[in-house]
Amino acid sequence: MHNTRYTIHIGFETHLQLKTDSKMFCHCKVTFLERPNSMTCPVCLGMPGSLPALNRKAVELGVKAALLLGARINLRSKFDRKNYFYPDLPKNYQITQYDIPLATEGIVEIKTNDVVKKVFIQRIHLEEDAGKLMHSETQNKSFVDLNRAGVPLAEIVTAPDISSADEAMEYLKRLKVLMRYGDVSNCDMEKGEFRCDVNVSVSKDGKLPEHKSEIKNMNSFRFIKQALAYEISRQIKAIESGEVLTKKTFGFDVEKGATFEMRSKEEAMDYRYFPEPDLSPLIVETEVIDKIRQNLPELPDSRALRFVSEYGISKYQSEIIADDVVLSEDFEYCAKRYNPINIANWVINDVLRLLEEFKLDTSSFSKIRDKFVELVRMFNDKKLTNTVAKEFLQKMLVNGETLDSLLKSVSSESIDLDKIANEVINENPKAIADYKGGKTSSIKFLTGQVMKKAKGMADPNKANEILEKILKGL
Amino acid sequence: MKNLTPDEIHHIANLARLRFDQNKLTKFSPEFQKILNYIAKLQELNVDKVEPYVWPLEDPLKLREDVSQKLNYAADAVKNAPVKEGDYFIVPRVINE
Ligand SMILES: [Zn+2]
Repeated sequence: MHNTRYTIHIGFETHLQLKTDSKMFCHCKVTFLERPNSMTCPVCLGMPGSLPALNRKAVELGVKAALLLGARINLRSKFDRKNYFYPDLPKNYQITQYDIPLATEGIVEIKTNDVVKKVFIQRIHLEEDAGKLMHSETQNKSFVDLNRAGVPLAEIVTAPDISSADEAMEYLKRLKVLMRYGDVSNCDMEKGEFRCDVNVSVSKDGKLPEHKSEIKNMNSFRFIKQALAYEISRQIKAIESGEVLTKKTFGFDVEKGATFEMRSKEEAMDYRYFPEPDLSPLIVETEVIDKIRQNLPELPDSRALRFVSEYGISKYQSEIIADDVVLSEDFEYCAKRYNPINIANWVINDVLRLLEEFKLDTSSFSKIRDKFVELVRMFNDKKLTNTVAKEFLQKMLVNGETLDSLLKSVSSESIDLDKIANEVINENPKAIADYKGGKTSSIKFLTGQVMKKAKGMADPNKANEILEKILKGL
Repeated sequence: MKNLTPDEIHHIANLARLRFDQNKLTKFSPEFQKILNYIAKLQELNVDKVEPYVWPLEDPLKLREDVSQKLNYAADAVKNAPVKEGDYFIVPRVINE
């Protein structure tokens, strides 16, 4: 690789699904995996005579996104029509914002190898999503489902400021963290709630070149990283061999791990934008902006700092925990109830490992947080061994088993009370002698010893019963 | 107003999904040019001191509250589709590659 001699310019256009109940311009419910075309109406089907009515929540979430990115909000923005023909677009135009977007000039700060860098956000605008197409493998037909058509999106466009695949990953992670903190979007990539067009160009002189590869519609961080690596090395090879690069559009072949050129449709690039005549300009009142600003959430950086000072956990741990809004709320909930340092250790070492290993959402941890506190407490009180506690955690988190039922199953099954009782009797000759001498209360001491050996997993009545039986036989 | 080339007219027609045979193109080209020239008259006006506006009235856009309805519209949605299969609209296979 000759990377050091080359400068890489990466920019992102990210489509974020705004967390609304209804679509951008109609009352249809925003859903996932519903009966095809059931969540539609004359507006989102593009029927003649229907008129769009803009969703207030979508505007507010767009403003919130802009504020989280430190962007300047245009008090007066407008909507435009982007014209093209495609079967997933029922009106033959997409309502979007062209020359006067909702917001401009934001910043996302990223940190790679302890170097902080500012990625400039050029614009944030509102637009509607298109429908979904499925292509027949065997026949000349495609299936059209318009449930997604009209779902509200915010498009966030960066300058080509990002200069490595690692920085690109940091940018995307940071954007996702911020948007989840703000509850602007769930950013669930598998549900298409966070999709990127990735622009990348490599130059030898450090300047932004004319040529550019646009990799369309990426919805996985891992694939974006692979696509970038592939495209960067392809461009370097092309430059080395004196090939002239141009502006091209690519898809990413997941199987091959390679980008492929999409049929260059220069004509399709001609969108003939014009102002949307069905919507007057969007006025955002400064009072509305102020109100949203006042209600902005605590951001990950300040939350991480607060966790260090308030709960005494390490900076490293607190940054990992604060990176996820749900996890950080659950951590705080648990840390208020039990030793925060122990809680943090368990969250970092075990909870996160299991969530990752079993591809679970952090919300699965939310469901067990009360019992998780109990589990950590029992472990600290030496009522559970490390192995058992870890096994329990996995069963609770992954299989949805309850701590109570796990405790019961262990106490009745896997503890050999007879064996433990015999051990205790062998180890405590004085207590045995006392018992035989008529001091029957010494059995209480022996029962305590059995419980201790069983690490709290035994039924004391049963232990008492077994001890009496053995002692009578002696 | 510059004169449009036949290529440009083809390009614009293609964007609008219109097809012309040669006869029609010969007839249509001057008509199209005439329309453009007429609109181009606007460019003679001096608008240096005029704020651009895109909307004739200054009433702000009325926003709708975010309340959803489940219309279960599937059957109605595809009712008039020329080709349908179950709840889906069917179109000739399109793929963007
Ligand atoms: Zn609708």
